[in-house]
Amino acid sequence: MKKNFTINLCGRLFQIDEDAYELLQHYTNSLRSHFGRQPEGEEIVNDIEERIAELFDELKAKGIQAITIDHVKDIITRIGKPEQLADEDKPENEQSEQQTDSSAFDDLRSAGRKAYDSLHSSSRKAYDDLRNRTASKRLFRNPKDKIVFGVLSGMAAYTNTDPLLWRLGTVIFTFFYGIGFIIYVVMALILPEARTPEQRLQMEGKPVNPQNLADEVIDDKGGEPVPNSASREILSILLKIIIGIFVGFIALIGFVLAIAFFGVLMTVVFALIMPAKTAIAIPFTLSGMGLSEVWASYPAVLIAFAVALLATLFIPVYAIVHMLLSLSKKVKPMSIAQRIAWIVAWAICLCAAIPLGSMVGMLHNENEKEQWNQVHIVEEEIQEPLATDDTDSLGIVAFSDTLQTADSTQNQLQPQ
Amino acid sequence: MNIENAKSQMRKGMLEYCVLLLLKRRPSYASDIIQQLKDAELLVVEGTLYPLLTRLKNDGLLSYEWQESTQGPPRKYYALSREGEHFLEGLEGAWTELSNTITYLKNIRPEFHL
Repeated sequence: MKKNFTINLCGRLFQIDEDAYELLQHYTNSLRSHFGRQPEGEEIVNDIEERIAELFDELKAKGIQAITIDHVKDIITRIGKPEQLADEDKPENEQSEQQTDSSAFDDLRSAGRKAYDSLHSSSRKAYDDLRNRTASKRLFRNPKDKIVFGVLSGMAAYTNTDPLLWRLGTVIFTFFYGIGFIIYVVMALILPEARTPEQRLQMEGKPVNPQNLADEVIDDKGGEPVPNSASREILSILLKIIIGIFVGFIALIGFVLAIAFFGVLMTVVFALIMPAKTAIAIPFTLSGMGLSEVWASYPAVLIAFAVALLATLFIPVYAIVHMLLSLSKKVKPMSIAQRIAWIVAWAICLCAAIPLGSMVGMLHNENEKEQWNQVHIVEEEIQEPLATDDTDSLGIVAFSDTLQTADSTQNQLQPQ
Repeated sequence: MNIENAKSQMRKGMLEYCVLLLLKRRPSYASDIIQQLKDAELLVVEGTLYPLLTRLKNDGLLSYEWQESTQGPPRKYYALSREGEHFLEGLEGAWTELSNTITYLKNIRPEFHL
């Protein structure tokens, strides 16, 4: 069973399968980008679309209800791939363009070579090797072969190596202060997943042409990974168990952290939207939190802390909202550069919020101590009017409440 | 350079001439031309025709008009223009020469071989 669309092609309606539609769309797009350089490009593509519509009509006349991907593939081989369709005038231009391209590329490479000449020849060889392997590839998360997010098999596809090695390496490095884990999480956040067949081809470094695309779309439905040898099999099962346990553990911690995060977030949101001076808002005002003294003496610290805290809280919220919107295709998913920028910004805010927070706490405590001392002095002076019970309870009260209690004690005492 | 590539180069060179020849007989629309070229085993991929037709039209060798068809939307019918006819005559001369050359080269006897 397949999802089916109705498309309007040159004023005629056709029923077409989803994957067939994707392939057709890619085909016409690649035709457009191929002929786009010529002034009459649009006309040519329209004529070809007209032809496709005609061929679809023929299929319809044969009693075919819905156009499948095989029909589209046939039509593409019939009409020809974009690179086959160049007019006689054009090939020379294209060649010269390719030549300039390659010469620019050569320049770049020779510049790169010069820069690397200072390094050892072995490392240069490794670099060239990697370069060759990664040429015309793009880094994606691999959805076809994944244990958690498919980061490592994506890396493996990019460098044309074995994902098992990457997985083993990451697990081993996780035992060194969690380096492997942290790098993995960052990569998982940065790298996009290869969702479309086109991206999967780019990931594998195959040229994106209708033939490969069609193969990829069909392969999508049921391609099994290559069979493994026994030792590999055992190793990968072991790895999966270790990773499974680890992921379960992390998920548990993550769950607790998420609840804590949500709690803090709600508190902050609540504090921000609460109308001032109502009874319920009092705990969220500066004096309510016992910070009025800090605010009076060190406003800059408090402002910096508030900004850092808010950014630390709302960057993830923004990222999640953006991700949800991009899943429903309302906005474009972030580019890698954007993701890196946000992650760096978030890390900076977090790193700023923690010391600033402890600084605010310290200042707060200092103020309390001062007041505490003052209260004690006052208490000692006028011990008689107060009952001993009161003093005791005052001594037990938790830190956060001390300030308020001290205030009220002072108020009580002042008239006397 | 494989054989298929050489063949397609030859066909490409001839395609323009053949299309003009076909259109001299009668005005046709693209799919019509494709069918005839396929019958003559000249066309491998249909798409090659479209850039050619558009270029010939823009060069003023062809004219076209939309004609209603019995089935589906109107079709673009291409016809040879006056300029195109002159052009075709020029090509015809060139073709005869080429054809003669080929025949001559094929039939040349290896007289001076020892």
